[in-house]
Amino acid sequence: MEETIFKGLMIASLTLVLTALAGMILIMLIKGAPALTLSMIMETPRGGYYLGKEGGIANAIVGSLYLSFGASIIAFLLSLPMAFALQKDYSGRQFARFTRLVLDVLWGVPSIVYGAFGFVVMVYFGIRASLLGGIIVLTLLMLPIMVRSMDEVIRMIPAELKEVSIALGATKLETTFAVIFRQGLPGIVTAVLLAFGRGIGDAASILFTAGYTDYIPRSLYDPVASLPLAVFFQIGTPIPEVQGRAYASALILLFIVLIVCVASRLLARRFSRKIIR
Amino acid sequence: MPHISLRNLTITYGDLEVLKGVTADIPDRQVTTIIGPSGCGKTTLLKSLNRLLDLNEDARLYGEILMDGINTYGQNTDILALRKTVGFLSQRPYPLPMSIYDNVAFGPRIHKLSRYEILNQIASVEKHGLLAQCSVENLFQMDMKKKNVEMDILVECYLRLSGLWDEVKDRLHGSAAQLSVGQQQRLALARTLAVGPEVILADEPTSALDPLSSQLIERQIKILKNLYTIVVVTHILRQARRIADHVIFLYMGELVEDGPADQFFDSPKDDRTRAYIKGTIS
Repeated sequence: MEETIFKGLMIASLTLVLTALAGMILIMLIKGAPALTLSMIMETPRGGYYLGKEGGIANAIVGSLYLSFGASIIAFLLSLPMAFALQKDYSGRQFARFTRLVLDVLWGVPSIVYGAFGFVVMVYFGIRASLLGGIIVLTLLMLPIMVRSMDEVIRMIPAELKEVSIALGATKLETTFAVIFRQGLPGIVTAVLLAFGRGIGDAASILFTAGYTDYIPRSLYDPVASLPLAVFFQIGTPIPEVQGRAYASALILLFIVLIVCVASRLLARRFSRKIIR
Repeated sequence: MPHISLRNLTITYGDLEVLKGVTADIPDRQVTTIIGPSGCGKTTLLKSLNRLLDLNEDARLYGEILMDGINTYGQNTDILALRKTVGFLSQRPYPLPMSIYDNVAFGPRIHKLSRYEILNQIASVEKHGLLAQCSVENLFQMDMKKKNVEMDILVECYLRLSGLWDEVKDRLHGSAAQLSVGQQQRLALARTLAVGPEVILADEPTSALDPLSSQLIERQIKILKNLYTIVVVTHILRQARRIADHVIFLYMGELVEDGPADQFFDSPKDDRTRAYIKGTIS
């Protein structure tokens, strides 16, 4: 009897969530698909694009890719050593606990706060909204997510595995690189994906810091468009064609995330065949 | 070959005294078994021998462990060199997250052994005639220009030495995680041997294994004692009878009795030893 109730509960909650998700994707498809043309992907906006005339949002697609990949790479390079540093081989218990708490709080901070913070700093240094500014703020946004997820993955690795490597005469550092990193790789990839997903989908943090433009940026100091902001700007208009394009933009965003997820999962699976379960 | 002596060895975890003033000698090229009931400090004693105990922050050690007359807990000890000399086999095998080949090659790679050192190491093992049909005999016929050929030879030799070669020779580059637990333990043995140790510590090496795999490990231990000083912790009395040349009996952190295996099992001196052998205390 209990068994049945809980099984029912599980199925019910799963159905609820999946229905909501499917509904979201369905609406995006219905409203966005007609607007999703080749020129939408290949062209930058032309005159009167936001009134329903010709052009596309290649500027936002490229911009989003620049922003999120740039920030992901920097965040990854910073997060990995940080996550290792939090382990008890390198940090005291108190320090690690405190740092974890700080990161958990930062994880929960709304992205608009990151944006505002970035904006204040940029104003102080006299930098205008640019690709560079966007990447820096996105990196800050991604860091707590990446570090904490990697940290949890690395903490789960059995101490005996480390002991094996140490007993063979390896140093802590050699153990970290040759054993812990390999064993944690699938989890590390998940951590990066998690952060990437949040980064590419975030609008508020880059609203002030990356700006928006109809052109594809040529340098780090040019302002840059992004898909979430493209959705935001287009959906607010009363013109039906433009609203359709907003949904199409969202579809493109979804598609990018999907491709990146699948690709990195495949890559991680290739590397994780030999890990110990 | 180091001669290992424990001198008044006391180890504490916080307020808990795990070992109380143990003094004993571990003879060379023999199998020494450390026996005693659970929680009597067997594993702690074993881990202190290659300073794996250092990983436990709460552990404090007093007294001396002499190796060739030098205190391994002295100030100038090269811990990495010590761990290279004194190999460790854990209770449950943990293959490293890499291929079978890379597991064996891990140690030599970490220590950046040169081709000369590797070949030397293999030659010294081969001298004892333990490696039937190993590639060493065909050394001069092998293409020495081939990249990493010495590592290939090393991997083969140590897998043969641990009695695993025939089972894995066709899947050296497959995952080590897919081996059975018994095979993993023999892989762990090969991995430990590949570093070129003189002493092998084994912490209940068969406790996670099925009877057949246990038998294989015991067989290898008996073969290897011609080459290495072996210290095995076990709580299985019958296993100690089967493999031991020398016995150290610990009870509640104290050394009760130690000596050659025959003497220990046939004419024990202490009442507690007699009771333990009979099975009245455990």
